[in-house]
Amino acid sequence: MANVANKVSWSSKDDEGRPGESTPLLNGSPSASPSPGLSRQLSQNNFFRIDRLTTVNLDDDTAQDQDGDSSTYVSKEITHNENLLSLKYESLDYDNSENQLFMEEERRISKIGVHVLEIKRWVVCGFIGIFTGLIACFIDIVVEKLADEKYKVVKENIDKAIEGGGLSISLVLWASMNAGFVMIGSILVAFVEPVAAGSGIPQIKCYLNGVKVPHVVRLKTLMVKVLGVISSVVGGLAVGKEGPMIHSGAVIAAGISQGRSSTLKRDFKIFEYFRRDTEKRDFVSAGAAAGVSAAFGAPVGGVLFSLEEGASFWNQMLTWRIFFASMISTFTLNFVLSIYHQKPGDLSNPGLINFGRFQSEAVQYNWYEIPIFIIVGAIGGILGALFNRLNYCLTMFRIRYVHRPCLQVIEAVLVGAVTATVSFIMIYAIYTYDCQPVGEDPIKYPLQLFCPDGEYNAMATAFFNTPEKSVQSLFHDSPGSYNPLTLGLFTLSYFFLACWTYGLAVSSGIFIPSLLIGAAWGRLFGIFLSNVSAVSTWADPGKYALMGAAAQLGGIVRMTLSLTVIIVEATGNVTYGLPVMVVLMTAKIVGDFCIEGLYDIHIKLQSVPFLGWEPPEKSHALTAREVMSYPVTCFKKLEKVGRIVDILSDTSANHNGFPVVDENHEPDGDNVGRLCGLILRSQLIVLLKHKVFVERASSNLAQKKLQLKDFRDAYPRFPPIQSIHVSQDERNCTMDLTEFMNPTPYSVPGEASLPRVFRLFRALGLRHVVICDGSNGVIGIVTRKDLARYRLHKGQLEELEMAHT
Amino acid sequence: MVTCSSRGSTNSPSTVKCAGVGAVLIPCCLEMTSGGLMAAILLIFISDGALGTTTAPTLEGAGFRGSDVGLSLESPGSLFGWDASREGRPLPRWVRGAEDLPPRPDWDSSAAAWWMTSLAEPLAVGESCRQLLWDFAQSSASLISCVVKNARPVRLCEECTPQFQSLWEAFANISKNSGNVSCSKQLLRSDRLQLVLNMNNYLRKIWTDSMCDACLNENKTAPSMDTLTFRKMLNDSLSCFDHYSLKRTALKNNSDVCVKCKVFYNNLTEWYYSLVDKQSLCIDIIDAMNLTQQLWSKTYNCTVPCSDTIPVIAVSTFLLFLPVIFYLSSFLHSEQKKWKLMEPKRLKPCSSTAHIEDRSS
Repeated sequence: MANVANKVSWSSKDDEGRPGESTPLLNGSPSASPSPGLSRQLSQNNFFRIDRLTTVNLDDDTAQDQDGDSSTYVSKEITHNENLLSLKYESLDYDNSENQLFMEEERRISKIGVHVLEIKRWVVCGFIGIFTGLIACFIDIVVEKLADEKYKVVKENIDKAIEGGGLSISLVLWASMNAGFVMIGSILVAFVEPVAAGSGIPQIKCYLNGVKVPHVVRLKTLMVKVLGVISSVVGGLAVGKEGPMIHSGAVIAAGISQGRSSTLKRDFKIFEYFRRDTEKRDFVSAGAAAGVSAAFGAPVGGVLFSLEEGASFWNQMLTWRIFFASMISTFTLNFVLSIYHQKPGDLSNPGLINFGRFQSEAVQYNWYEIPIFIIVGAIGGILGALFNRLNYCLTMFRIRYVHRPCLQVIEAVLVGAVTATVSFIMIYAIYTYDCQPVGEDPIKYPLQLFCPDGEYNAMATAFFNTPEKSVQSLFHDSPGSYNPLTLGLFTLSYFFLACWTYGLAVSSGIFIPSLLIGAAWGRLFGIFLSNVSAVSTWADPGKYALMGAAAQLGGIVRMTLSLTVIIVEATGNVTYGLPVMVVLMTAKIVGDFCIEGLYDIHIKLQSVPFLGWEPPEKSHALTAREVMSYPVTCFKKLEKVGRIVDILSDTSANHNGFPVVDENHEPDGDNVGRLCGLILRSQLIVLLKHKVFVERASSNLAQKKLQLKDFRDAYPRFPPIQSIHVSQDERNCTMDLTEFMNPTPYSVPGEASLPRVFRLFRALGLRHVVICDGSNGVIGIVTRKDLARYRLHKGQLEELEMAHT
Repeated sequence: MVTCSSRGSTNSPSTVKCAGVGAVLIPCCLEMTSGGLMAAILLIFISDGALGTTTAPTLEGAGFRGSDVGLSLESPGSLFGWDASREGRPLPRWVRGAEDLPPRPDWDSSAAAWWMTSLAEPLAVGESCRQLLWDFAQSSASLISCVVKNARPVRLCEECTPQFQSLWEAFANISKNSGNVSCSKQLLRSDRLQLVLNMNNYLRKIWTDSMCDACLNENKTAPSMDTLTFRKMLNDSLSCFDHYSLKRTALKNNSDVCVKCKVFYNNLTEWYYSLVDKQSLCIDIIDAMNLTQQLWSKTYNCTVPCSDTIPVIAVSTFLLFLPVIFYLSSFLHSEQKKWKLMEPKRLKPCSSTAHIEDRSS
């Protein structure tokens, strides 16, 4: 069997990696001989079709497959498709290992100690807020400076070219400047840290779900993310800097709460208690909330975002702390930006994107507009589904054919150049149609480009600007400032550009492009309405631009509660709550009818073992006995070191949790012994490293007792087994696992149904469930992948393949 | 004596037939509801007024008598070329200056004034405060007149700065506390309308919105040097336009203007953009520049049309074709990434599959 430890990171880039770190959680050794009766359907690889899936209730005859595939099956290689589960993803240990060391420490903590811990949690949350806000400020200021500089150079060049000729030179200049910036960003992402690509929201979603995505919360990722997002926004791509803020916030949270950085090899010796997955997850959700809050100036929206994405683990105090972090984050951003704009104390920049005020009479809505909002929502749902479908096809193509880093960089650079070209052509083509006189409609950023003196180019205000400013113009410029042709062309071109851009190897958010597309067609819709109805007082294009933006965003990402609150908070107008909710609801219903949300599509395409809210329907027929891995590799309480090292080193069975069984109990029938506990690979490695052997303990009493601290110090990057040297002598020693194993692992009887096990997993954030028979004998083990394998597809329950590259 | 409807809800004066001293009403209509009570009190007033004087509301005598009184501050000469036509317009008549205003207008003649003087006046506004109010009324009136007259084309900062100054002064006089009488309390915050305060705020908003400060010198009294330079350049350009276009009205083509005035126009534009960079732009300059630019590009058609279409199309086609080539080549030449399948070990998978089939069917 091939080396399973060979790791692949998020954007399917091969990576040197460390073998021990990414051990799959699958327990149950893959055997060389295939299970004879399992029915497999091998179809020819079709380009964009699911080419290999296993439907549980197949009606094909099983006999045919039995002999046909048995020999070729193991080494079978297939092209990527969405029906795979990658073995590179591990689970996080959200469940505390309640071994003796842990219990002792918990008992030692005094009443004051508990309070100190609680205060520490608050302090960490405060720091998360502050640092997230500062990072947001940094991104905002640098992007503003660089973008201004770039647009100034290009504009001067175009102005000169209009007089002296040589417009094509300006076009080349613009395209190459864009391409240059994009190249910097994509080289960073493709070669340094591929997991920083995209918005990072799917990755954070997976993390909060309990999947350990390699490298996702590292300092290196944060740096690449920040620099990458700056260069892609300045490079003029159809991207926003808001989505990446969420990822950045999460990384900051994970870093601060650990009190050290493995990348920088610095340990500040603080917050050591928080060095485990359970605590870290709570802080990461606070960081994600702080990121949303800084991006949109929406603290409540941030909390609800965390709630919506990671809601399976939640409590009241945590919510309150997360809210605190969000508030601090938006305040920090606001305060620092006010100082930067030389108006200290003028707190008017709560977020990176500011929708501006919707306060005037014209933008109030009437009850009879609600049906119209529903129509807007439906349009948003359809366009969002179209966007997702196109992006799905494109991403599939990218995973299959554009997977080498240099190709990814070339692709990103080309997209940058083409974006500039399209913008240029649009601005150039429209100037005979849509030149508006300056001063008639008070707009904020008039740009003359090609228009006669005294007029501005309406297309240029939309294209020759950072997307945030364009969104604001579409929301607030007076009704006459854009004509329908301009808006139509803009929507069309930006739709395809944004769809093409998302999924490139650059850091990029999807929020702002969606808002921009939606605002453009929403405004078009508003203009159409005011032309149709004689009474045009209520049909304010700005209002419909907002609704369109909400609908488009909802149609693409399919967030519900948090998105409503984010939009309401960003507009600062609570009365918009109802229409925004109606719009998002419609968009989600219509969109879900066609295809899933963009984030879910990307999670699926990355083959992540993601557990949804609910177990798949029709899965009641399956029992734990059928889905579990069998046979289980177990250890005895007193185990030979040699056996442990052998099993841990066996790359074909890279298990992560091992049930510990009673040595006095003889296995009978299915079971391998009576269950007494569960021990994790990481714990065994620490034990081996410290040579905690029974023989040593008796010979060397001076040796200090192993503390929980020793386990925490190794977290989260436990050394691989290969790096631990065990001499031939030591191989004959024995290890006593009693003290270190978790004596009370969760176990269910084999007759439990799949939904039952699923709910247990989802609610408790488990990593392993041991399957026992009536006499508490271990017969199997269920891990995350065993559950995530089952998926409802077209009304049938299908089983995904496990695969690795 | 008094016939009074006992039903309080019918509080219209027609039902309450009162013909006598109103005070008698109250013991009579004890069972009235508050609405009725209000009507009764109203009646007291009406009857009181009817007994005393006529109630003609001649308050305009008190308020805006001075509407045509203003500081004659029409600036000595128009600096703008096309303003020549304005010279012919009849200037507003300036009746009298501020200084020969009577200290005490003829309040006594009007009926309302009687009421105020006799009853409430000493309580409401003191003598000196009324003088301040009067000053404020005058300066605001003259300011409003000036602002509206200079609304199009916008010459606010140029024409109305003195009026604004005098208004600020008048308001400052009101709001500062002089002596033992606090006029600011009496005039600014004694009633719900707060007319003086609102008027001041409104006019101040006009001032801030027009950003006139940017065009004035440090003392905020005269135009700054930058502004004067701009005006001079503007004049040069406009007179040049005038000169060449007038001669050629017969011809459609204004190319002469474009050639001859290009230097002036370019200088003007350049200076304007330097002002933009310095952020010293008020509404006057922006508006004047917009009009001039429109004159230049629309009326005289002087903007050079750019005719680089062919190379632009060629370059952009090339750029747009690059991704097509890229994707085609990577589709044809790049090897697909293969995934190796892993077979998970299951307990008695054969029976389980059959098992599921049984149950699901």
